[in-house]
Amino acid sequence: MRSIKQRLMLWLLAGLAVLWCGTGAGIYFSVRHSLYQSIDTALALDARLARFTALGDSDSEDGTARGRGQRLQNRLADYHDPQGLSFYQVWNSQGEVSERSESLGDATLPKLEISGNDPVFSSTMLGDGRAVRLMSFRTVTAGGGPKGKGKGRHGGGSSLIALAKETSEIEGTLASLLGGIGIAGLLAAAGTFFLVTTALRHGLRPLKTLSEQTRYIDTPSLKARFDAANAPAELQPIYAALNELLHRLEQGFERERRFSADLAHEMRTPVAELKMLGEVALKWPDQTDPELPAHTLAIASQLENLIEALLTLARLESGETALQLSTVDLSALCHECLQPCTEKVEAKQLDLRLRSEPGLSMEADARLLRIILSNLLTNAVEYAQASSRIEIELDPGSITIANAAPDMTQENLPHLFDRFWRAEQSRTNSTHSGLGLALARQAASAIGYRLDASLSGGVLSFTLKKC
Amino acid sequence: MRILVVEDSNRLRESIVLALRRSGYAVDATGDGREGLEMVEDHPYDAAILDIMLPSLDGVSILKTLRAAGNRTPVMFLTAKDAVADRVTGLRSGADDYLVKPFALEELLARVEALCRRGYQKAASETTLADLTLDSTAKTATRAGVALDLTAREFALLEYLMLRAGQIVTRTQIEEHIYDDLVSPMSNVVDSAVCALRKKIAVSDDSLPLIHTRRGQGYVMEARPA
Repeated sequence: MRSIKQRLMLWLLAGLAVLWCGTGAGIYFSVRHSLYQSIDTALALDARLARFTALGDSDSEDGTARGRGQRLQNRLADYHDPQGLSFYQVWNSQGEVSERSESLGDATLPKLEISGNDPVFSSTMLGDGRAVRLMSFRTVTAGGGPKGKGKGRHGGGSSLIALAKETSEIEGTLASLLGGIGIAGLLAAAGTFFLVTTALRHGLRPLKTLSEQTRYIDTPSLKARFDAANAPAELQPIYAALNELLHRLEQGFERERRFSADLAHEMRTPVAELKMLGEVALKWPDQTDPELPAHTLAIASQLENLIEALLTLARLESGETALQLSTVDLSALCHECLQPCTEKVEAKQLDLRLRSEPGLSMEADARLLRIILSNLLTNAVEYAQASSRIEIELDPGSITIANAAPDMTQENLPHLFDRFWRAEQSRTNSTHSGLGLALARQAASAIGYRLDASLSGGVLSFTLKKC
Repeated sequence: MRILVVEDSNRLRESIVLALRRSGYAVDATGDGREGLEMVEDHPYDAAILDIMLPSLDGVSILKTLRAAGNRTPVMFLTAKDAVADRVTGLRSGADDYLVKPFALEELLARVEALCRRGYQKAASETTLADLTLDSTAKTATRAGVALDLTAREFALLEYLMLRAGQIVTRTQIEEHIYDDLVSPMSNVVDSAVCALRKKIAVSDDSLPLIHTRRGQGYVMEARPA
């Protein structure tokens, strides 16, 4: 079952039902037991009277059976009311019915076989359908012989006496008790159900509140936080976790938003250039600039580079790029990456120093490694001051590229790898997309390396290390 | 009308300069912020178009420096920053207009024209003096119903003189407003241009002379007998 409410309700209702039924049954059976107990006690008392009567008068003059019967009748007067609820029946030692109460009418009490002197109780029905509680016991009746001699011919010996009381009154009481318990049980069940559902509804309201609050969270409202002030203690960790999640989401979205804004900004200038070129050419068709096609082509290439860089970055970030590992000769790759910068290196009279063990190679994806090195090297050549030195150190497991960067500050260092970040806010140099270092860092992490920048003594170094 | 364009994208700057020149403006241009500030401080431009993100000094700083020094040259920002906050910052810092890249050429021209007018307290693109009417937008001039055939520079000269009608305009002022740095005007270039213009606006023998010479001072354009 997936609902907490339903689960709690099931457990509570089932548990309480068992409890209520148990209590009801307990009350019923204990009352029943004590009612029967009281009948049995009354019967036992009567039995003692009867036994006493039967024994006590054994030495009197009128020792006949009739005399004894008479006395018994006197002792147990209420057994003789024809309408009465008490009955007795006596069997003599021969097993014949010697006496019986008038209240029995046509019915007879069942004769129980008893071996010892202990009385035996049982519940039974009379022939006419009346329910009775029966107590049977043996008693030694006075005979001619000396006491204890046993079974004489004249009725001396043991006779079986059965005393019974009708139990319909008790059964009636028990039936109404059962009805009472049943009604009380129903009321209790209804009450319990109402209580449990109300309690659950109230108790689970904070969850509902939480879900309602969650429903209204959307990208524009990521700044909002859950108000945990009124939340119950059990939900506090959930609220805290949700707020933390919102914070992370907000930051992520903010980063993406900034990126989109930067991207739009980045594309506007080339588009504006294209548009102007086109409009000027249209407005003064007879004075078309002969360099128009070259300009158009250059802008198209710039946009193409930007799109290419963006796509590569997106693929690297999403982890879609499948690595193609191969053994890459590092110094050969460095030379290859420096090739497009040759003119600039000469123009700026840069002192390029490559330090490497001969034939040092690295197991990596050659394409990604080229992205990293070519971006780092082009950057170094681009931003190095004229006549300064660029040092490239190739070691097993790490690559360092360092150049003097007098304008770089420690505050700018963390932004170096941000997409579209530039030390100079202007976009004069349109050959750079502003994505190079972001791309290099993503490519590094894709091949299991870490690209970091450090600044010491005006020298900016980029280090590629296995992470 | 002489305009300064400060924009760091070479291609865009060149296109704008080309378009403005072909529309009859005298144009100076640079891609550097500091240089742009020096230029606008040195010359009385009729309008300046500034990019916001510039090397060495950004457009907003240039404008603030200008306004702080009491320079009231009409300025338009031309930028890729389009957020409302950016526009508000731009206008609050003293800009007269704000245009977001990419833009339509016609819009740029219309806005520049409006900026130039603002410097001469003109509300509409049509200027009239006696029976001479000049339309700055359509770049046409008519006298007594006859359309005048003017070159771009002649039109610019007439426009400048008409905008300053009733005031004495010196030769230096004409040089500064009609010719950009590419043309190094000899002292008689202005005189010959004015002379040529006078002939063109005299459409008939009974046309009133409108451009008068003030010896030793310059020219004044007004409707009065010579």
